[in-house]
Amino acid sequence: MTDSNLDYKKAYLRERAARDELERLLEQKTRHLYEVNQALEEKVAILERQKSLLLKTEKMATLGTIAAGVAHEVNNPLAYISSNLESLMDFNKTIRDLLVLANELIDSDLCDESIKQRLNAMQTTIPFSMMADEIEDIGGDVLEGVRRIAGIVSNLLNFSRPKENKLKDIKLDEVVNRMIKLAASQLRSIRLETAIDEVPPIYCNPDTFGQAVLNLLLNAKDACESELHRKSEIKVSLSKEKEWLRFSVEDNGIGMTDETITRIFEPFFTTKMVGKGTGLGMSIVYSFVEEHHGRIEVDSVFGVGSKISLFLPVTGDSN
Amino acid sequence: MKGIIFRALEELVVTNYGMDQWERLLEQSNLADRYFLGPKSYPDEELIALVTVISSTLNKPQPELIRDFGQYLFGFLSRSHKDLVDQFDRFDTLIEGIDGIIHKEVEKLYAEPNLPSILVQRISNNELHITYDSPRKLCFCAEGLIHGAASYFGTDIHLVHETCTHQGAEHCTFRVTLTS
Repeated sequence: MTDSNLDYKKAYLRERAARDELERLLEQKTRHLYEVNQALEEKVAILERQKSLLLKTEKMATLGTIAAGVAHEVNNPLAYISSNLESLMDFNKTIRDLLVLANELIDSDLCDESIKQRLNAMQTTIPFSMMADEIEDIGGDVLEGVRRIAGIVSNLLNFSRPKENKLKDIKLDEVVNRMIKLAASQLRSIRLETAIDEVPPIYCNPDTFGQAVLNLLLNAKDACESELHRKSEIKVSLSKEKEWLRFSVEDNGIGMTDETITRIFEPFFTTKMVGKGTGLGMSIVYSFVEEHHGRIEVDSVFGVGSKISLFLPVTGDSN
Repeated sequence: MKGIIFRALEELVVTNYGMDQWERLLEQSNLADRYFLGPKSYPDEELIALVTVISSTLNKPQPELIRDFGQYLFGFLSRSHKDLVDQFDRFDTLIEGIDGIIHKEVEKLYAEPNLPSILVQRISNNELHITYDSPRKLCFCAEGLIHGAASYFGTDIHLVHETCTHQGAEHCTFRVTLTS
């Protein structure tokens, strides 16, 4: 082998050794990166599970808040169903006597005078004409009461039932109206003004959006209850503004200080009394809006009131 | 095809036939300016071109050449990935661990490794049935790799290539009997 060949071979072997070394280093880094990535994926999965748990916790807390109101809401129709049924029971004896008389008439030779006497005796307490009118009203009222209770229970079940945490095309106006109904008992003492436009469907998670709406409504109600010097008012609106859907809840409650405004989206931050709030409501609203590539505007003046607006893109392309 | 396979071929040629021969092979395969890096992917056609030229230069049939290369490749890989091979203490456990351990490790290290499907079924204490499936049809290379693994562990084997895609079979199957 000539000197130049030898030099060439040495250079080649050195270059090959360099390639080997570099490939080894690259493999080490790649393996490390892979393992870090695996660990990261596991952490993301844990976070996802925790987030889902937090959502559930907040949902249970909201359920607790509205349960008392729902009980009251159910009590009203129950009261008039009960009262109507009592009236019906008052008619009971007369109706039974009428049926007996009718039965006797079929196969007897009672004279007209005797029939008249018996019929008049039956309506000494409640005239037949009144009974005829009331029976119709009673039936209608009872039916209406039962329907109202069924509606309340259905709304409550719809909210509390575990949902598939999936995105789908939904009409926000329908969800907003449903949530307003669900919170109606809580907002009873408040003047509620709504301007809910029919808006095009967007691709989002209806369950989380519903929870966000309810959180904003209940926060507004709590803010109003903290301000005792004026008649409480809440304005709820939904409209389409160019490429955005804007959902706003405005109240004339106690309002927020600057410090509170900077912290409202922090998980577990709450200005409510111990046991009244989980401190998760607004962070759930925030994460919902983030996930759907939207934004939140907070306008609040302490002592005057607050307006929280959620902007969601009409395209709804949250993928 | 990953560069590491080409690098093994390069080492085989340079060690046995010299650098000049490797340069000539590259030129004859229209790859004169090509250099190979382990983690990078190169067209399968480049390996086929090199094998075709080597086969004609050495006047050796391609199946035989590829089989020999497979055997050499195992030695090359066992040096460059010693930690991985050291996880196995016997030939048959390594063969059984191809899909569950070795291929998993390869997937960690290389993007889109396009690995063959290798199913191993133990017939008895000293007999394995292997099903090889790959669009590349490098079953002779797999055969050589199995022989390379057996040599590495000092195990004598008898291998029968029972069915072959080159003969029209749906996939290749090997019956491997450990004779020592």
